[in-house]
Amino acid sequence: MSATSPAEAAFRRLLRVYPRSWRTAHGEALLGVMLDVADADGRDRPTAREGTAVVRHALRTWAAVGGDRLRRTGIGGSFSWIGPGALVLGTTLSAVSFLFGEWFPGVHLLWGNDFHADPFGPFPSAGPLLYAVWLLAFGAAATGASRSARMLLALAAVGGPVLWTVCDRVGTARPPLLLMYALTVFAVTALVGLPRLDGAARRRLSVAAAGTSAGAGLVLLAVTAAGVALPAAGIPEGFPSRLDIAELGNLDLFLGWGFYRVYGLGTLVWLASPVVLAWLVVGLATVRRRPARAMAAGLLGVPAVMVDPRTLGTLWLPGPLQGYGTLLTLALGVLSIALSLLVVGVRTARVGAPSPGATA
Amino acid sequence: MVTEMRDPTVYLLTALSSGPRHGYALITEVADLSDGRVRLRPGTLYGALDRLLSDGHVAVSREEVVEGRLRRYYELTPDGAAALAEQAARLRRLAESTTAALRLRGATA
Repeated sequence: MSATSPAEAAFRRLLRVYPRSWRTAHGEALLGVMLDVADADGRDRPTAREGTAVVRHALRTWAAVGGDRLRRTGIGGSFSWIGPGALVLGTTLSAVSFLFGEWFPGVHLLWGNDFHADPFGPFPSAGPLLYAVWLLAFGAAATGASRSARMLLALAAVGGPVLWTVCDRVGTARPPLLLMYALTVFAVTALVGLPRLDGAARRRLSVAAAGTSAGAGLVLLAVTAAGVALPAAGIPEGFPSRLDIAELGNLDLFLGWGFYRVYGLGTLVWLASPVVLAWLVVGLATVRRRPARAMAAGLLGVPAVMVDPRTLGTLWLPGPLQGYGTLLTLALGVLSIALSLLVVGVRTARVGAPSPGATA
Repeated sequence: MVTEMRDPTVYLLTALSSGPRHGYALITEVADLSDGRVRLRPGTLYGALDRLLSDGHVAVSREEVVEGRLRRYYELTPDGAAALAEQAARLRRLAESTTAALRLRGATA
């Protein structure tokens, strides 16, 4: 066969499925083998099985090259923390929200924007349903039941939008939208990025969750105690995550207009969004050489994270569909974040094997 | 504990144990060694070679151009030879225990 024969051209086209770096290093050698085999078989083009074998190898090579790139840039290491980090943060938010938003001893609390909604059984809102799924998911992950953990995280991801849509329809109180939104984003992120954890990793995860929950609780209590000493003035009315106390009394004086009641949980929730956004930016940075993907993820994900999804829902779907706009916006935001995480290779970052392309 | 290698990998290392081979020669020799049971396709061969190279079991020996085609020769490294010896021992133990079990079965039947 000559260098420009149709057979060689056909095999060269097949080689294009490989990454350029691998093709440069090994393409000619592989081409020679393929042409030798084709000559022996009396063929002038690849067979379907030959093509399938090449594509499978090329896909593994792409994954390895991507993993190498993530490791070289140091981003791979940070990505390996995304899944466990999201699990810990979501668990912390759930535990603290339950403790301080639903069950603070002796105080009947209502979420600020749900004065006209009914409580959920013994709880001020239906939030404990979602928190329970989160805590069970963490328990499953911490005990090594990874399949159960993934199922529960998937339930938490779907449960947030479903819960608030149902609550808004039937008039039951629910936690603030941003809290549920953050929990949903964390659930999707943990679902996508949670690696298989060995015993030591599970112990570290438990210590981290207990530490962050205790830390967040102590901060709330400490700043509340400090707030007791502060004058009760200048509290902004209509604060999105404002907590109120149904029956004012001595305990109200203790809590006063302090941090816990007005700013505490709200601050935690507002902190969650920048964390998610920062991760998303890291994710986008890794696809900087794929502008179409980066743009798609950015257009869908960043506004949904930064802007109150209720506002976007109102803008996008006015009229009778207005209530569903929130759900749509959330779904798009979560989906885009999940996709961007998948695209940049959370799973690839977990691959410990060295790259074939790098060593061959 | 010896990590179990797949048959094609064992055949590849076995083919290389008698000296450096280029890709097409490896495909034909593996087919011969396995009585035609293992027919490596070029993509599969390079997948296996990539793994063996990264594990340090084989190395690129030399290259030459024959009739306009690049031929890259691979050779077994000392680590590769040791790994192949471990596999041989593992397979021998497996064969011995299987044979003993069958012999016992024949005695009790």
